[in-house]
Amino acid sequence: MRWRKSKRRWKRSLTGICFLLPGFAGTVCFTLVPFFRTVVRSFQNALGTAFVGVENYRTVLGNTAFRMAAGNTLRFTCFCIPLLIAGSLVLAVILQYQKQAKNWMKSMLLVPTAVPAASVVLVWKLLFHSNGLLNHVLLATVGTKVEWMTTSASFWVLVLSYLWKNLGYDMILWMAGLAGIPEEIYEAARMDGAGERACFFRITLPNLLPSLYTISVLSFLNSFKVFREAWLVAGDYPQQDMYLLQHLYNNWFRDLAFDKISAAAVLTALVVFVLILLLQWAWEREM
Amino acid sequence: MQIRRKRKNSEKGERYTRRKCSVGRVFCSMFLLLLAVLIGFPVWVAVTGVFMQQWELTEYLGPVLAGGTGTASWALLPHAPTLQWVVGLLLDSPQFFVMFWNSMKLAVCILLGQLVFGVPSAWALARFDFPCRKAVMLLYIVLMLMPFQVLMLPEYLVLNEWHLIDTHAAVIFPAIFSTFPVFIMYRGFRGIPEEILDAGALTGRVSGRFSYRSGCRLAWQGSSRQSS
Amino acid sequence: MKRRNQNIWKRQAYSWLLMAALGMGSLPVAKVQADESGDTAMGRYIESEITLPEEAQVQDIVRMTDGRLRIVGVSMDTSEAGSWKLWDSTDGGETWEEAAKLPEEYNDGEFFFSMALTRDGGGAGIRMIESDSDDTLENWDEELLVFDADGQAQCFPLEAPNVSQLSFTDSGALVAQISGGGAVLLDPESGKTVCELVTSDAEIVGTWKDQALVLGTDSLQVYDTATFQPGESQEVLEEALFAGNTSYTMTSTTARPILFAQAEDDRLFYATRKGIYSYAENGSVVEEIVNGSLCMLADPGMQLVALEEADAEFYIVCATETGESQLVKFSYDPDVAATPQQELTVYSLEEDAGMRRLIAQFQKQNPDIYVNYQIGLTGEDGVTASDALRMLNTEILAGDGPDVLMLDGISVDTYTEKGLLVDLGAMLTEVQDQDGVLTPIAGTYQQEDGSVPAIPCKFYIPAKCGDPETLDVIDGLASLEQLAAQEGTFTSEGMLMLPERLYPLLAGTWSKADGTLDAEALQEYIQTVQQVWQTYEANASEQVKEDIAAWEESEDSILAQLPDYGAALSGSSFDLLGGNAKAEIGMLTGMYDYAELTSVNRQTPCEVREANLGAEDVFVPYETLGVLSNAKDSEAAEMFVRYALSEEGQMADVETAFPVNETALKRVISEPFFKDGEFSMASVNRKTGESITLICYWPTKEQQEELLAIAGRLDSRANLDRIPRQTVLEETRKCMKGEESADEAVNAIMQKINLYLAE
Repeated sequence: MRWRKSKRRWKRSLTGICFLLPGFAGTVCFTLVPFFRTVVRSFQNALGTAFVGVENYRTVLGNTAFRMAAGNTLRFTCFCIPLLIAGSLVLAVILQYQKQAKNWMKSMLLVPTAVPAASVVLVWKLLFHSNGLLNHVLLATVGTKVEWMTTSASFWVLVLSYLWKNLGYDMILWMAGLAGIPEEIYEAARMDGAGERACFFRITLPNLLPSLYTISVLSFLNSFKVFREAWLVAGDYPQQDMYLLQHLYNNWFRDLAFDKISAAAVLTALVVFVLILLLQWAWEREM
Repeated sequence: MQIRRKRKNSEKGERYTRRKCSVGRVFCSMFLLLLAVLIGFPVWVAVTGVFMQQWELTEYLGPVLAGGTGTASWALLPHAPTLQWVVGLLLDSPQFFVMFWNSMKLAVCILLGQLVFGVPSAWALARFDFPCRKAVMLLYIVLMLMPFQVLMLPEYLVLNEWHLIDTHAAVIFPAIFSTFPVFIMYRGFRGIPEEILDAGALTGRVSGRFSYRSGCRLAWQGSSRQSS
Repeated sequence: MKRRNQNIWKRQAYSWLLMAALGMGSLPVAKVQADESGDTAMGRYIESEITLPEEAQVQDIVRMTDGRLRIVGVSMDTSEAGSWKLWDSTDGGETWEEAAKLPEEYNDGEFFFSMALTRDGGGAGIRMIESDSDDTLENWDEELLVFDADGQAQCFPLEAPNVSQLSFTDSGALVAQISGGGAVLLDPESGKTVCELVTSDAEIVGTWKDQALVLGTDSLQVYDTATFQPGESQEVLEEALFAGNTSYTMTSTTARPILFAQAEDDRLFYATRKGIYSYAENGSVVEEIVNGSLCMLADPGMQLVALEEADAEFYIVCATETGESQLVKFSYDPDVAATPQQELTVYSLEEDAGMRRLIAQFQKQNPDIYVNYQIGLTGEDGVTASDALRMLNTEILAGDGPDVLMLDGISVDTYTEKGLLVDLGAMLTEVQDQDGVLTPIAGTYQQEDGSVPAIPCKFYIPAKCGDPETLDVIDGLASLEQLAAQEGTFTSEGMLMLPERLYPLLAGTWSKADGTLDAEALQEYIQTVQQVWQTYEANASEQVKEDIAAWEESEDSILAQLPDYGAALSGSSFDLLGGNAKAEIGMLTGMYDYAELTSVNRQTPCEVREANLGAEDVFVPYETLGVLSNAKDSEAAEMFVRYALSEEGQMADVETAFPVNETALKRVISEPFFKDGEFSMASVNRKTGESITLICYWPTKEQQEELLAIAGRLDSRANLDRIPRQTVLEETRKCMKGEESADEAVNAIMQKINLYLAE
């Protein structure tokens, strides 16, 4: 009996592996191998002709531009992602109880996700230029201009751009998560006399933890995409507070500094790896 | 059984409408409206701009794009709408159609490829248990989060060795095997309760075909969302 | 227990498998060597140059019915200069005999163009006569000159306006283009218009058999000259002509974008920059006979004038930019490989006409090497300079990079630091020993260890010119302010482009030795520019204010097209001549500039001096070449650079910039491009409205010596690195316009540049 069971389990494992193999092979080819080569390159010189050990890591960690870019990226991530997640959750909860507005609001909020970055960039330029629309409004109401692109206010340009693009996307994911919570639990809780707030904090939130994990990862991924808009609007060398890690990679590429790119990439990958492990441990135990 | 549940829902619904006072409802609606306006504004600007004539665009955009004085402004609707730009793009710019159909071709190929390769991978990772499954999933996530510039050169070298440079395949293949759709579909597949599949097995449907149909439905949601 | 051991074992096995897979996947795949089978196609048309009789300037060549070749042109020989003659050759163009002369009345001072010959030896041309005696440019009359095989000629007045592009059909009908884009048939016996074939959109007009070929912007029309009706449309030919969005327009009265000729069996031949092609009527294919990129057809310095074919050999009459004629003969050589075996890739960020001419000359000398000219910024897609460099770097890393790199606009340090450039020190010494070289300029990139990774082949000289008294006052930036206050010292263009003009001169003043910027020096520069501009604007007259407003409208496009070195000094020659300005600062971009300014000096005092406005003895390098260390064919690459530095290579393009090769420099300065007084330029004085003429002379011996002396003194390289330059100029301009203060500008610049340097 036991032997038959383990044989069946073996068979299931094998089926699983067969399903996985084609996709995995492709991923190995086009993503894993390049990444592995990057790791190897991080120990070589720029052209890949000689080994230099950990020299590149030392250079990168001591590089002021890298420190600034990493700091900015970290600041942006730590500030924006919680803001986005909380904001979209609030929106999802509000929208869930709107009967009429629900569908068209959903579509409305999803439109930014569908608009390609290049199309929106013109509007951003229009909005954030020192003579732009935002300043027009500010001048009319408050009476002062804000130099969006040339002072530290450029950070808010990034934030606004990111929030605008991803609010709808995350909200939909939250709504899917909310819809997945069975009604019976709420019924049972209400029958036991639980109020709205207790329902929310004791039932809704805990059941949303798996969604939280997914949404965190996706928001994190999308936070990298904000580089696209930043680059299209402000070019290779934007104001300091807008200068992200990807700007640095981009410029290093132009200067043939592949050794530095590889070392920085491996460092970033390590940070991401640790972060994902933490997220998993916190919110995704069943994985 | 079902009928009773419906009644219970409607009862609950009524209770909810009574509980939430109308001021709260109005406040929420206003807030949502404001949000919709703010979010839709950039898109509205882009859309109305299509129908504005040159003089109007210069007037509004001059301070920003052409070094004029004052600040930019915008009107809610064009003063003298025109179709000249649309006509010009659709009828006088053949390159646009070439680019458009290229984009379509790429998007369709990538979507199909992701369905063919991504769905089985996600299904396998979600529903089967084999050694290193967790490690593979972790690897997929880390790879998904790598920015483009990091992998750009090694990917170029790989594509170069396979003589795929300057072909559509160079864009399609890495996108097909991207780990992002696998991640999304994995979440979806993970959520299917085991009971449904067991029920399917009990009623005699072959596991493969059943998973194919339900899997496809979920996959469609996941991948169409992320392919935008 | 057993299962756990099994699991551990399985896990280990899988991890090893994964590592193995990764390891194998990371090994570079061995490139499969292309099987070079011994049979390479042989046979190609090789070009050779034919000396023209009496240094004639030829306008047409024809294969006559008796097989002789005939050319028509004006003799430039000292004894008979100015006389129009017909020469014949019976030996395939090797030697020429004078066959006939046009009447004496047409010699000396007559201006003929668009000469066309018929197969019986006669021909026609357009004669320009000044109708009135006032000096305006507009009033010229045209007459049709018709001559026969013996030189008997007659002139008829032309009704049609602005006739050009004369061409004869086999049956003697004369086709021409008129202004407004029409194509007409003229009567060669009276000059009257017989019929208007096309009323508009006729860019190029030619003939083939009895038909007129009319090329529009994207269409080919064929007309029967006997019936005046459209002939059969030749779709294959039309498609081939306009493939790749090529368009044909006449850019001058003599230079044509496309030439036509007819074989004895009635096949059509046509020659464009891309090559010589052949087509049979109603044929299904257009055949390439000569590949343009392998011969002089690709040289932008050679203008195409006429084409003829005889005995399967092609003759192309072309003109250099200085007006000299050359006759190039293409003969088939079955012993040369059809495509050259060796391939060399030359890369430059932006398209450079000088490099194209150098390449064409190099290929002529080395027909077995094919030079592929790769351009980074083609202008077609929205690629920025940084993007183009990234693509270049990717290709270099992948091993597909170019062999020779033209480093103008690219940071030499980046490639040197990575060890990507071959040491050219030995080559430099060789050139020095052979011809002499301006070492401070050519060796400017010499590293501490003595290696030379890149060599500028040419250079520009920053200078100031104008009234000697005013020039004496100009001494440092601050003096400019004083002069700007006086109206009429500087031109509005000069002031508007002041930041760009001053940049090469002053970039060195704020770069410190360790690479960072000196904020104080930068601030001084920006503040002074701002003050100079504001003073100028405050004291500007109405006319100048109008100029400024007009300039501001198209500012972006003007600035985008401005070259890195700023502006050529000779752009202001007419302002100096007309008294609108007393001084100008800019760049001497070659001998034409210098000759123009010294010619101005003959009419109004105008000296040319070095512009010592900050840093001293600055030069701007041009055509900086380097050889990549992973070049596929480093031998050919080094040969190319050696040629570029040799006297011959430096003389391939004498008009742009000054050669670094000393012998070539002396020759360029002393050998005139044109004869004194031969040509003149005219313009209208913007203030007074009267026309000014500048008669051009070659600089005198003393002036030549002066220029040579200046060139010999230069030793400090202007730093035109793209990103610092763009940043500084952008902020300076904002400051000029008053959008921000000098402090803010300096802060913004320092921030950006420090970021750039920190990377």
